Amino acid sequence: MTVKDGTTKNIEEGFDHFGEYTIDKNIDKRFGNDTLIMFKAGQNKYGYQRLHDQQLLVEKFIVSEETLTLGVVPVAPIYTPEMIASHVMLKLTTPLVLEPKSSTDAYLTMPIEIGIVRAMEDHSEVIDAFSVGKQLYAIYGTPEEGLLCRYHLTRLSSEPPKISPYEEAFVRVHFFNYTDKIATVNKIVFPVKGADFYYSDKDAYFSDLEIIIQSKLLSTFAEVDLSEGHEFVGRKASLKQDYEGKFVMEWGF
Amino acid sequence: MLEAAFFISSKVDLFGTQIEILTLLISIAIFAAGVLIARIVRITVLKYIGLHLPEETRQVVNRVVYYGIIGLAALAALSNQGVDFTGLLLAGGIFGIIIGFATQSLIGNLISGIFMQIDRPMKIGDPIEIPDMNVAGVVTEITAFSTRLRRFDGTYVRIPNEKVFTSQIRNFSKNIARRVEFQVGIAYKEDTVSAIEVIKKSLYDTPMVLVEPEPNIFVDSLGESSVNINVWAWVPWQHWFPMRMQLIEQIKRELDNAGIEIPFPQRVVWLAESSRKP
Repeated sequence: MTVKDGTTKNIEEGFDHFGEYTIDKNIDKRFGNDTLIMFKAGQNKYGYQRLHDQQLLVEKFIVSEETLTLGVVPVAPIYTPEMIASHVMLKLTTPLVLEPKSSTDAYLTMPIEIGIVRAMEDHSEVIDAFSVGKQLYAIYGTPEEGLLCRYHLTRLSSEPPKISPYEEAFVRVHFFNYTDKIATVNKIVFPVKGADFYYSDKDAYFSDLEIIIQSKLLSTFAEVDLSEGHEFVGRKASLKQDYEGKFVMEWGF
Repeated sequence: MLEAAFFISSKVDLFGTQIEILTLLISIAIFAAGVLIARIVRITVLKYIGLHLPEETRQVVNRVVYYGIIGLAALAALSNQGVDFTGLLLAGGIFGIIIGFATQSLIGNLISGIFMQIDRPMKIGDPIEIPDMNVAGVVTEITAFSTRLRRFDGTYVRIPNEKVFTSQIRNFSKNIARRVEFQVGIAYKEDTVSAIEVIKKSLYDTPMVLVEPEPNIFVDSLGESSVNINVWAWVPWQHWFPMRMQLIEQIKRELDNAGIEIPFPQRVVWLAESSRKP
């Protein structure tokens, strides 16, 4: 196949894995309808191209004093089509009803994007990002004072669910209802900008989440935070950025 | 030495008034010190407080601090020259009334500018519309007396603060989302349920159309030649105009693809038998 710069690349099926790739030879990777081409373009110069449906969409030249290694890893679903949200809203297809003082664990899926990342010692740079799945957005709260979130419809499951590779990541959630009333959870909102992901081959994972429903001063709200540790074991994809951390769902859950 | 002492204790004639050189030098020193202090205070305020303030408030604080200290230094310097301000207070009262009438609009603009800092209907960078004045654009500067806009056609407009403050202001960026609204007409022979489904799918496939709040698509009216369907879709405010352009074209194309006719007005003319020539 011939791409815009006139070079000929042999794009083959398969090979779809997250990972870190050292560009000492031409590398082609396919992710759904997107194909990534990484190649050495000269002394200390490297080329990166992304084709969507075999049409060249992104092309970059990278100058590096050392042999370039690029990570093709799961990243927060906030980069495409434009960086307009830093939170995710997981809408449950079936609401979870929690009795007073009860707790449970469940598995969910959340959206991801695929990032092409240049990892440095103290920080990482997202060279390119794309989404295999559909990008949807919603407002948490009201248009006047709400929060724009990446939207994802998901179903609660007691076992790790089947996920769409490259579109979704697993996330395990620990629910706690500390109130004296029944609480119904319909959605979960939490920040994802700067969060770390984990991966192994085709699968992506997010850190475990903890959702604590509590009442203070006549209002009931849910506090969402990362839990200590995570169940899934895999390689860490970290952008070494600050993460906002705890989020209080004050406009309903 | 004696000559220098004599020089500074001697008097000079300034506009018919005998002024001792020493007191004149002291007055100049007081004023110069005032200017210096004003500059230091301005820099200090900008460094420690200004960074936490919005651009327009920072400008106002900056000017008030700077010119306020210089004004006080000028009063102190004049007072050192023996200027009696008690008489000035009486004269100032009358003078103030005259000046007040003369600069009514100027003061009005200044007061409006201060109230706008408190009310904050907009900030620099906000796209706004002032319907009363038929002006729309992006706010580039809010000074003590006026608000400056870059209109969407690229021209610059300066509006006195008094007019801005007393007018209706429509701020397009105050809320995180805006609704795109337009109407699509389909032929009477078409199924409205199918047409609404096509439009719904088209909106769902567009990332910038928000899932929540949900888009509203409904039959609004039965027109002369079409069934009119209203389409209301929420989008992030920054994307309102591009989405407005994209969605109408996109929905027209998808209705065409689905074989749903968008009619144009037609009139059937019946000719009376008697008007026909034999």
